[in-house]
Amino acid sequence: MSWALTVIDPRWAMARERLRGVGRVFFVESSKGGVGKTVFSALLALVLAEKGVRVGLFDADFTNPGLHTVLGVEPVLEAIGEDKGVLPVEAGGVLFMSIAFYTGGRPLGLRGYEASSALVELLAVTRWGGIDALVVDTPPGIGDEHMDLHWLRPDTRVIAVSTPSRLAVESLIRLIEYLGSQGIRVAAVAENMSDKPSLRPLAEDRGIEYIGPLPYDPGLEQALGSPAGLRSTKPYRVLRRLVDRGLDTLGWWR
Amino acid sequence: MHEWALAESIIRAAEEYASRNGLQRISLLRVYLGELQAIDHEILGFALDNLRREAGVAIDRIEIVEEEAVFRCNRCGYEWRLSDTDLPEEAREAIHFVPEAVHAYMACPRCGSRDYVVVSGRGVRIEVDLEG
Repeated sequence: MSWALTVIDPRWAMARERLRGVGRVFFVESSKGGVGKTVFSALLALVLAEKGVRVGLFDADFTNPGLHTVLGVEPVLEAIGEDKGVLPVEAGGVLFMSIAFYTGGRPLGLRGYEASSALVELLAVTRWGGIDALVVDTPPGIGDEHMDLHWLRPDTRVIAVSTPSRLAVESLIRLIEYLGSQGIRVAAVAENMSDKPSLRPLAEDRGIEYIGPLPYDPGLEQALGSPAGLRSTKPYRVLRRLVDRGLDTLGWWR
Repeated sequence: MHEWALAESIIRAAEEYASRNGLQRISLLRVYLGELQAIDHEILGFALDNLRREAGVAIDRIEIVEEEAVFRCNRCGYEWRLSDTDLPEEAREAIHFVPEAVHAYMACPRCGSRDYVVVSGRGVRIEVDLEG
């Protein structure tokens, strides 16, 4: 006779353990779409890799992954290696994992609980192999993926990306307030596609580090798909200079 | 071998459960394997046998149970089994790693909707029995 039967989803314990094995985790978030989270995530990972940081990049936008396009990695299953788990793919010195390898870039519609399930599945089986940092590109909004990620790794550094547009800024404030109400501090605000540091006061008044302004670069479109090309874009050069000057959020490895 | 990662997850989850509940032993660990994920029963069993020896909790017995994959359409209510469909090899392999990828390869056979539920047999879940 059994007196204590408990059903467990074993993936959560493993996903937590694997994330614990990563030195520092950054979630790139923005409630508003189209502010440049994906490109920023890629540029950040590429800058860190150039500085000698062993860095991983994870696409958590399961229904609309884009990082493979930014990095120029073909989304085919054959790219993935297997060794007691799945191995990320190297691009521009960055270790990269995405759902796109499994969907082959096909359209994928998921209910929230399924996105959550796919997220934990991939995090449970991906072996990052002792990296110093993991940059996670998240979908727009505040949904299942964000809540799961924050729960899996509570000490994550959130980098909130925004443009100076009033629409994006409203969203940014809501995100900072929401996360704050959950005991999660936003580590930095990155102002993207902007020539003026218009979001600096907003960030600094709240004790949040300011990263920017990262300029709009018409040449960026051409550089998509090539890590070397991305490294010659204006926002990349600005971000690298800011990291060199010693941002707290991004300079821990010195 | 992706099966090893899943076996590690299973042992880790059992250890976590035991330590949270102050247990030294688990009499039965039942592992359900969903048909959709198509986990290799033998490799998983072998990996579990190896890993349990170093586990932080004594596990008396491990039992593996296979579950049939069944889907239900959220639009028209139609129910079907994986065995009713003919998924290409590439799709099966992708789904083996991330079962949710099935939505990229399969639609409801009756109405064509991609909004359906995996009613059973998705992937791996475990049941812990303290006195089986």
